[in-house]
Amino acid sequence: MQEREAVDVVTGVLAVAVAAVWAVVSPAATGVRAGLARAGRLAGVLVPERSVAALGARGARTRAEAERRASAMLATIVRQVVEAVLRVTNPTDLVRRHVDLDALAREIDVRAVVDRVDLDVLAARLDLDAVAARLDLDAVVARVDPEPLIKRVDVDAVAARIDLEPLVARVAPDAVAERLDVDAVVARVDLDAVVARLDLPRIVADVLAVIDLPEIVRESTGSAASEVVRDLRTESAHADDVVARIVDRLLHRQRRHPTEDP
Amino acid sequence: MTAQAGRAGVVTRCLAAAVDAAVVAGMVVLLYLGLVALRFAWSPLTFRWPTPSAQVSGTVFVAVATVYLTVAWARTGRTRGAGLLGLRVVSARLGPLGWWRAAVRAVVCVVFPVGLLWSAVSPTRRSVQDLLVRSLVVYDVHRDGGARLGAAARTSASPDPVGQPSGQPVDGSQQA
Repeated sequence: MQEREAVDVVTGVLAVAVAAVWAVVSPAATGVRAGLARAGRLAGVLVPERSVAALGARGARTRAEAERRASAMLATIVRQVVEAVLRVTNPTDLVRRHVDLDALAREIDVRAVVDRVDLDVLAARLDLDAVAARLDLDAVVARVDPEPLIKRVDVDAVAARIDLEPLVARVAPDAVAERLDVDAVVARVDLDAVVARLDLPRIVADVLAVIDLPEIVRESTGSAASEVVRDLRTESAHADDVVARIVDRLLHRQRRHPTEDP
Repeated sequence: MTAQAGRAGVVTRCLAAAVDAAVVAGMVVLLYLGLVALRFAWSPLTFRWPTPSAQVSGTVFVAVATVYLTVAWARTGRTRGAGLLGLRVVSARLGPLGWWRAAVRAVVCVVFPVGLLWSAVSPTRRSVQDLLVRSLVVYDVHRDGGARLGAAARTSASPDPVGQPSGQPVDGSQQA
């Protein structure tokens, strides 16, 4: 109610002001207009043409000045009135109470608005570094509940879409092996559990079925025997030479080739 | 390499002879056991272990040794002992010894085994038996029955066709 009363007061002030101005200006304007009419009729006889033109120009300047001042004064009045209104009223509250925002929103053609948006220009003007710098990822991540995301992920489908060949081709086995701490890996292995899970009798039976162990034993035995025979022959031949040299020395005989018959 | 290339020396030959003696002894034992088995099969109730005299045993040993050496030298030129030591008995032309010469050499070896020691004194490493039958004992580890030696003797003018230097007489092949 206070706002309404304030508006009425302001309106009254304006009305009084306009009436006052009109009361002052109107008679004068009427007299001037009548005088000029009579003067116009006499102008052709008594008033020279340049005098009329000078008066017209003077009147035009005066009118223009009057209009400018009136406009400035009116603008000042309107500004002050609006400020006074805003001081005593709450526009937001007025809009909220008297404007159907839902109806307005329904009438907005969002698609047309979006079509008019030039995303390229927006993207070009977007400073991603600044945005990223202001982004608190820790806080964002902390607010994310991973469980629903994990449940929605189809791991099999993801794995099926992964092309492992290029990944494997890019892996450097030597580099991986150099960085691999084999001792640490082995230290973490429970060898007892591994051995306990092995079916050693069956493995041994399979190995023996694959390798011909009797044949290997025969070959190794034959090789060892052959080595012994070879050594025996070599040593005995060497002993033959030693005996021959001793006999030649005892008999003071010059050695000669044994294939030469005497 | 020494000057005694090709022909076997006294040590190797004595070792081969010892092996042959053991082989002959084994053959005599087997023969004895065979005869005992026949005797037991013929008359089990009256069976007794035969006790041959030393003269009989010696005679059998000599006979078996003679046959064994004759057959071995006539066929391949090597006995079991010679094969083990990589030796071969050949003629002066490095060919097969022949049955008669092999038999004579076997008899002399059995009757006068000491004659083998003459190979230590002989500058040509020949024993008494070799001198009598004009044979040679050479290093030969191959299992070809002496064919390689004969071929080498026919195609080479080398006085040592065996080509088997002493001290390096073997190549690992097994004895015949």
